[in-house]
Amino acid sequence: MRNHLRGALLSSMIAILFTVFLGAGAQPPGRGRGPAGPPQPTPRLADGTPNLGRVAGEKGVWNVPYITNMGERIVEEDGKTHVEKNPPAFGRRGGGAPLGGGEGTGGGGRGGSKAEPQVPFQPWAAAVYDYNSKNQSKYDPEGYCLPPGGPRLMATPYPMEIIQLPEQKRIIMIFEGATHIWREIYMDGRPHPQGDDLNPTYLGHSVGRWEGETLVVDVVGFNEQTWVDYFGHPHTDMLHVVEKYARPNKNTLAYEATFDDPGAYTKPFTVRWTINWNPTGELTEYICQENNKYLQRLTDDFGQPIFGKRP
Amino acid sequence: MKAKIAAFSAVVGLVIATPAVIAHHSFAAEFDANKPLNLKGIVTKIEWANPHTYFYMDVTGADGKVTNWGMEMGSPNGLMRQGWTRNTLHVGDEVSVEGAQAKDGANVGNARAVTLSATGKRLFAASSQTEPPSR
Repeated sequence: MRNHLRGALLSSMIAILFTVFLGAGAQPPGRGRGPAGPPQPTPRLADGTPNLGRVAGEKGVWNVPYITNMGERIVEEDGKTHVEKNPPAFGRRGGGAPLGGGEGTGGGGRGGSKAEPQVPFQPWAAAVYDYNSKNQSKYDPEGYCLPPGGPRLMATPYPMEIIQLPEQKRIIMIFEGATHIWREIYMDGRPHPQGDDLNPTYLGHSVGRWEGETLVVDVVGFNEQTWVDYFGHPHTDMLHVVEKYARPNKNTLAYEATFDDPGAYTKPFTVRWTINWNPTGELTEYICQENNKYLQRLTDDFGQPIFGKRP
Repeated sequence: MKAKIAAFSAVVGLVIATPAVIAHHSFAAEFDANKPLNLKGIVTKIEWANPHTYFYMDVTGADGKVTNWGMEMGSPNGLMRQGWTRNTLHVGDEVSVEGAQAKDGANVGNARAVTLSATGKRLFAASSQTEPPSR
């Protein structure tokens, strides 16, 4: 039996090492099915602009990671994020060591606002965040099949494609998951609409430009129906997001976003992570609204059904 | 025995490393990771649909009493990336399920993995549970 235990321990260690290797940012493209060897160069369009999508004749999608807490992805004063300073531990996905002591399940620590000094909460935003932590994101709009807004598009783990249409001066992003949505980025130099012409929407109004190798997208006009992330950081319709997209090699999309929301936070903050290319992937259909039993089972803080009767 | 434990450990590693988790709603709001389920039963109904595929199974208890359980899995797109098709499960199949029970104690669970008794094939269920219950 002792030998058996030793064998079990050894194989567990192997499993742990395997997991750590996969989880430590050394994730090979295409969930391990991709080509080995040195990174391939950045693909480019005919005019030399970085190609953020597929190469003609090939498949491929961006494997959007599951970032549950953007507080862990904020670039702090030392220039690093919490996750970069605390590499993912065994058994956790999509983040480093949990902030706030690791209470709770299904996404790591839920220490609330007090555990996130790097998030410049206004008092009301901290209180809302604490409430969302306490109820374990029960009222997350994505659970109702509503779309993510802003950078959470790049943190909801379904595949995504970027399609550049330079002759039409626009870029389209299509998202398989989180309600099968698309997003249009105007590249024709237009300004954002002003006043009531700027209609608040889930995804906001996006205008983009190239700064060297980086696509910079400026987004305003968000409604208040979305959360910043799964953990439930709130935002207001004053939110202004500036996103930066770069493809330093074929397999990597470097993503960075600055949140400036004077309605909820005392100063701007910037988050970043990378998104891996899956060279064999293609988008499939996902219609979230089809049969969402979560809504039927959802009860409020007093145990009463929120949507209709329980099945 | 040794081989079994080794295989189990490797499988645990794979479960954690599999990146194709589908996140739709809060796992923790509906299920309790501290109520692990290991059920064997006969499939009675299958709902191959978004955002979660459900199947129902009759589980016979030690006392002979039959209870019907509903098991939540990932969406069809997530399941197909894990090797499932809409015909992987059939009504009448015997299956073993590893997962977690609903917080409210209802006979509802979130399946992490399903093993078909007829073939022994173990399939991951694209669960929204991101951590093993034993963490």
